[in-house]
Amino acid sequence: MSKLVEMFQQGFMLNVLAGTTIVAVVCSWLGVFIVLRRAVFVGAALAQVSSLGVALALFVSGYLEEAYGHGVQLAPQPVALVLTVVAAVAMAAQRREGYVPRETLVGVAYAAAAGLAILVVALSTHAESEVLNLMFGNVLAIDTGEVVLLAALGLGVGLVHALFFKEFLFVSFDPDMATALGLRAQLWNVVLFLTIGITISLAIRAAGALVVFNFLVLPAATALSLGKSLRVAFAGAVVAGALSSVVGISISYVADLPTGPTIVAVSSALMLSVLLLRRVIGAE
Amino acid sequence: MSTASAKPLSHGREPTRLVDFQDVALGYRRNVVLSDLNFFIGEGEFFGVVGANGSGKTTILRAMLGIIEPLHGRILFDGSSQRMRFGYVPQRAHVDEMFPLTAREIVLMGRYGLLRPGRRPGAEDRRIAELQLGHVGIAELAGKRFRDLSGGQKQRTLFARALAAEARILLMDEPTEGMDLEGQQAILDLIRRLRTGTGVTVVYVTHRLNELADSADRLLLLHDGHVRVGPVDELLTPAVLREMYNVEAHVERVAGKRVVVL
Repeated sequence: MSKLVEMFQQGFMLNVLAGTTIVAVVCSWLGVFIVLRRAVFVGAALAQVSSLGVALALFVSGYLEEAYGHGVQLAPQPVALVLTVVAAVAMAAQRREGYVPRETLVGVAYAAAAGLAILVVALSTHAESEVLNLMFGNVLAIDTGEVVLLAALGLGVGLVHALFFKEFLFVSFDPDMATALGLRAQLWNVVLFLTIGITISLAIRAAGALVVFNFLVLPAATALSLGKSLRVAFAGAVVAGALSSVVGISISYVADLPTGPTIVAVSSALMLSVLLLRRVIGAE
Repeated sequence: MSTASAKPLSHGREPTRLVDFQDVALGYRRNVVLSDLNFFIGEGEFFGVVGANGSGKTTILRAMLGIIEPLHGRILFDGSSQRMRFGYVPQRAHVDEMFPLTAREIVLMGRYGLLRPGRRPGAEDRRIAELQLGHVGIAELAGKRFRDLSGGQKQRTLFARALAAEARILLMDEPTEGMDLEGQQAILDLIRRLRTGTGVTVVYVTHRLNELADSADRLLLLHDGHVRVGPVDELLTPAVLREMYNVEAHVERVAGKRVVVL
């Protein structure tokens, strides 16, 4: 117990808690759209594309430094952001399927981006651990600046979704009817995936690919398993995400466990409890 | 590849052309599915589109809704190239039941096309949604989840959503698919009631000719790339059916209703 009190007295741990919980809330909200649209794999692929962006930027920076001396660099975050957003918009476009299912193309993007990122890291002149840290993030490294950035992200995504929730819901549920009624379905799909792409890119830098993917899928799946209303799905996902973040970080601090995997374990336990509870109560 | 003839209604003056296909070719990428489409849907008509799976009826429907653009020619809406709002009733099986939405929430979506981006449905939109749920006879099911409804109730929910859009034209894609005879009859009765009550234009897409043999004003028949458009009286004759489908068919009246018998 005293260790838990100690955690809340540490400035850096408060940053970790705040940053991770913002990531949890935003990703869990978006996760409901991702799960309902059966786009879970899109989340994973975008995470890899973001990592590839970081790797490419560091690789190019290495060359620039060699050619022009120290101080000349390509910032990894903007490159990752642009690459992820481009990939997200491409994946949002609802085109007719060709000879291969669309879902498979997402798989291709996932494998290609993951493989390429590792190759680029191998060729990079930067220290590998530094590169990996930038690519996959580390919740314990979240500082005050990062918390501010994540809070801005949360506000931005929150505002766009508060304004256009009705459009996002409609084009996710029934794009044909939306088109029939004169809504620009393609445009709203792109805007929705823009918020997803930007979030994934910024969140991975802070919390790492595993934790972000966890927040994109598990809280939404947990809330949807309750089988209640849309309101319960969104509110439940946000609560489940925030709870996993706070409880996960606390357990990892007290028991001296790696933070990311502990968060994932708490999320999984939460999901499992809901499934068991439903079985015990005998809900339909 | 195919021919289509646009004929005015056999009786009375020509109605307003709500949807007008002029030399339209439709397809995906460079594959032409249907070409030389020339027909219109008149205001107040019950217009049937009949064809087997793969005949191109879904392609025509998607073109009307604006999901695909014509490869050639143009589609006019009430004389203008400006798109029109459609009350669309999709195939029940195409509605994603994973979404935890109630019948009321789904019907309310019919109002979304009337609201500017960023605006939420208000009290008036809710009132109209409730009204339409009552109109199709499922007011008491408003708060139930869509996936928990029966096939007929789901269909009625989708009808109510299309009606809530207050569009001049309703477009229905195989609305009785997977229903028993009683369910089919109930849906057709519902359409009849709606038409007498509101005079709304109905486009009804199906693969079963007999479903519309007695209720539609005009039909568009699709078979193997061939297209015929005309009043039911003129199309449902042994000669036309032989020419279109290469079958010997009779058109008879059973209990006052027209049926095609093979």
